[in-house]
Amino acid sequence: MTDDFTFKGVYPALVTPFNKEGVNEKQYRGLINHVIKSGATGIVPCGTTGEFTSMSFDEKVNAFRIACDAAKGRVPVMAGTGAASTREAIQLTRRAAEFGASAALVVTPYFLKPSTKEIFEHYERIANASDIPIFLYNIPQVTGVNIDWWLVDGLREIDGIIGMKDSSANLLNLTTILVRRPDTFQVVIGHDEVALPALATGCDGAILLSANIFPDRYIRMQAALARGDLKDGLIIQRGLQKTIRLMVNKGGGLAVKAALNMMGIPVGTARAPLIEGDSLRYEDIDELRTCLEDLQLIKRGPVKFKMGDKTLIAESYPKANGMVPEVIDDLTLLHGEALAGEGLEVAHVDLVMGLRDGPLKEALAAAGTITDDFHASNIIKDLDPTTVFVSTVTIVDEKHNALVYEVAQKAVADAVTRTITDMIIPEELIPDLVIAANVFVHPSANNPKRVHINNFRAVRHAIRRAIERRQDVNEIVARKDSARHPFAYNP
Amino acid sequence: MAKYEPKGVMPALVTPFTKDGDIIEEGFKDIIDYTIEKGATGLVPAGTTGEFVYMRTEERKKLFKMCVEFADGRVPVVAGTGETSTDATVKMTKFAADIGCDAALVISPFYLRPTDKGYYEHYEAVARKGGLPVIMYNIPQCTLGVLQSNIVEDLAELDNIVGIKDSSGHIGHTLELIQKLDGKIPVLIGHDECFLSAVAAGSSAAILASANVMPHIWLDIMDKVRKGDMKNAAKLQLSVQTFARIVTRNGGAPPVKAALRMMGINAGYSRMPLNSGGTLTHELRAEIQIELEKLGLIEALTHPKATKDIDIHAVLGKFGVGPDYLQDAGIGKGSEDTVSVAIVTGPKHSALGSAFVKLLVNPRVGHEALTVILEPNLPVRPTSIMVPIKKIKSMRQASLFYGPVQSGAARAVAAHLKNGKVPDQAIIDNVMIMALDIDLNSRNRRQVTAATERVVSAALGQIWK
Repeated sequence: MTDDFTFKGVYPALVTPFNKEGVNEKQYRGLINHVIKSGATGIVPCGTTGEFTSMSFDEKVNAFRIACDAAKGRVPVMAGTGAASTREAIQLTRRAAEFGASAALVVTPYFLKPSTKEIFEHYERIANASDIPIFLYNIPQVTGVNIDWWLVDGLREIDGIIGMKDSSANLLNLTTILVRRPDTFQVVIGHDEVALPALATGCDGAILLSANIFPDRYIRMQAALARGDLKDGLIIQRGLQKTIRLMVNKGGGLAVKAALNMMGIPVGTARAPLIEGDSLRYEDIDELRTCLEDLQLIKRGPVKFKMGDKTLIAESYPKANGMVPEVIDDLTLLHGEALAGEGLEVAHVDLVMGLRDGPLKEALAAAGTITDDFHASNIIKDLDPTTVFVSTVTIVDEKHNALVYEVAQKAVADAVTRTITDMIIPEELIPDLVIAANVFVHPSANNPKRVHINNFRAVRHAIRRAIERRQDVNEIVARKDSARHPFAYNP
Repeated sequence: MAKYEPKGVMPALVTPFTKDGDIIEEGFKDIIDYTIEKGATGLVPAGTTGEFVYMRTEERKKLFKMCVEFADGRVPVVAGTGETSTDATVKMTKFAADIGCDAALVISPFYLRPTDKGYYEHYEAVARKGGLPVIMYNIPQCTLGVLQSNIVEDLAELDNIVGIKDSSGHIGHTLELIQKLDGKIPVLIGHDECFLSAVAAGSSAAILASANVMPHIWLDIMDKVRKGDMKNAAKLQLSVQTFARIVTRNGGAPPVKAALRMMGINAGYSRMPLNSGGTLTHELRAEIQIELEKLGLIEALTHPKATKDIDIHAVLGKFGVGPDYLQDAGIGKGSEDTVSVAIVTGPKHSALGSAFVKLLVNPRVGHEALTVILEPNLPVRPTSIMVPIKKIKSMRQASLFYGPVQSGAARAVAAHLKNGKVPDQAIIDNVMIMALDIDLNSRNRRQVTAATERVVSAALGQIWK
């Protein structure tokens, strides 16, 4: 039994690429190469992000084999060998050791919630039967079981248990664990959103889902903290916060896979029951895409816009893999819809765009005119391309009026401007293009900042969806029965 | 003096406030008269539904006085005398005793909340010193603390403790109390949604928010259970279930007050911060109205049925889209009693593309077009909008149209796509406009969704065979 394993740096909790047969070895190796090249100091196959509960025993063993072989001589492997039953966890740990894993990450038993006595015995048995050192893994959000600091007091005395990953984001419990541990017990943070405070308060490293994407940034964070530069660490964490908040809270591995696919690192889709458009909502996918653009992780390239016989080219279009057609062949009339946000400040936008001399003529003709019993619309001042703002809600009071005609209108203008700076629209096309946005602001909305953010997002997404013709017919057909219109149900 | 025994159904009286926050005495009296006339067996002023946390000590005292005066001996008054501190609770209970209240409803201390021993000593003090029979009150949704059954069992031994009101909505907890107390003191059900289950299991009285509105229905259910007519008891409970759910899950007082106002009783408004339309939204008011109509508590307006054969040219003409726009468009129609549709579709380069834009960005008031979506962020192809033929004047209409109708229409299109019935060229090139009419008497949204899917499917079948 060897206990000489020291956790250093940042390990990604690898997503698992699947194909019909099982683990997609080619994509898995591709991903492992990507993370090692990007600075990962180790890898974790079959963690929570790796959808280990959607894998058979043999598939997990196969994943260990591939991971150990692909990482060999470069970085250590910490295999996710936890299971609901003690017996299976022991067997998985043995198999991981055979392939050369350096350590095992063992999640607490889940679903049937054992008592602390039984949790203690579970770990004792696994450690006794294992040739490689064990890390405890606490993730109460999904297991329903929490490892309290006073339980760690006992567990860390067990021979072979040398450390712990805490994904709870409960800094109270984590801090107590850190204060009470001897130097020999290693503690790593497993929750991306609190990586900085956890590392700053004494964690030895991190195992993170977003380290599939940018492990280097966490390595730099750790280095900054090691030299006492909290400010640098803070800058790094804050730069990632929105991206990781989306991924952690909207599907986990499902979201990480979506991100990697968009970046051109193919990892396939998650296994059912996880599907895109569900916990990772359509608006989250679009938002995640813009976050990755901000981090310069989305490739840019040309997209052709056909305008009669002319072809205009957006040279630096942000081409999230799999979302963007090479050619936009008809600019007569593009139609997009988007909802963003929730509650009373929700934004729901219907948007049409197209060439000035096409059907959008109707929008230009109606703008600024007042016809009895028809909603008025206006062209937004000082904005290119020409944009018609339409509010179809009946104004109830002055506050509502301001939210519609000041806040939401400004949001539309900001989103159109942002689309131009996003380089979505070829410059020569701008004078010929007209956009019209139908905006709805709830009469009871209150919070101007959220009204702005939600309408900004919705318009930005609607423009892209109109151009890229999303969602596609396959998605419409696939979700015919499971789609849930929020207002279609009885109260 | 005979010991007070809670029984029957008592309203947790709302406290009517003006929009400025003053108590409306007349309204308070009207609610008391109405509920007693409908059979209420007691009155509970200054409970959770009475917004007691928004009232100062003196106001609560005034409210108790009013309640005793207006009740005029017709039914007992159970005063909500709970405060956060034990001393204040004892004082308030003494006051209620002095002015002639019959019992006190005492909420478990909240915000700074004790654990078990503290609860025991709190209730013991109130029972010993308050001078009134005490009903303990468990509502963990608000207090964040639970009165566990072992504490309640111990307290039930005290002379002046005469009941426990459980509003937890946790039927396991309610039944635990009924079982362990074993008739020693009654368990009053305080959660409208769980009324039947609790009464059937042995709860012998109730204090309910919705008993401001419909005490007679609750009493009827109780009566049926006692006679062993479970089938009709269940039928009645389920008929009020939606209203009960609306009340318990939307702040209690605001929906109850809205319902009473609709019934012509001046129940006023809630006090800040519960009064700005964040809790009681326009949409929720529309739902309350539908439920009251269903229960026969207010008169229902009757609406015309859906138009059978929609003249799409005439309809769109009224929205500024004349016949010129519709040349070469494919037309399909479908109709049932609940919903009917006419669909036009054609290439976006044709005049129909202009009609599409015009209807969307220059809509007639009350006839606003919306994208046809399976759910938000999942619109159908070919690119489609839908327009209501009847003017949308109320939230009720809006809630039928921009929900079930939208969903049903989208499902029909998706089904046609799935069956390969829409030509590839049309998926890319076409725009589609659906004009829809609905029977506004419809109340069941699932049926509206299904009917819309059928009629839109029939209409699409005429266009793409």
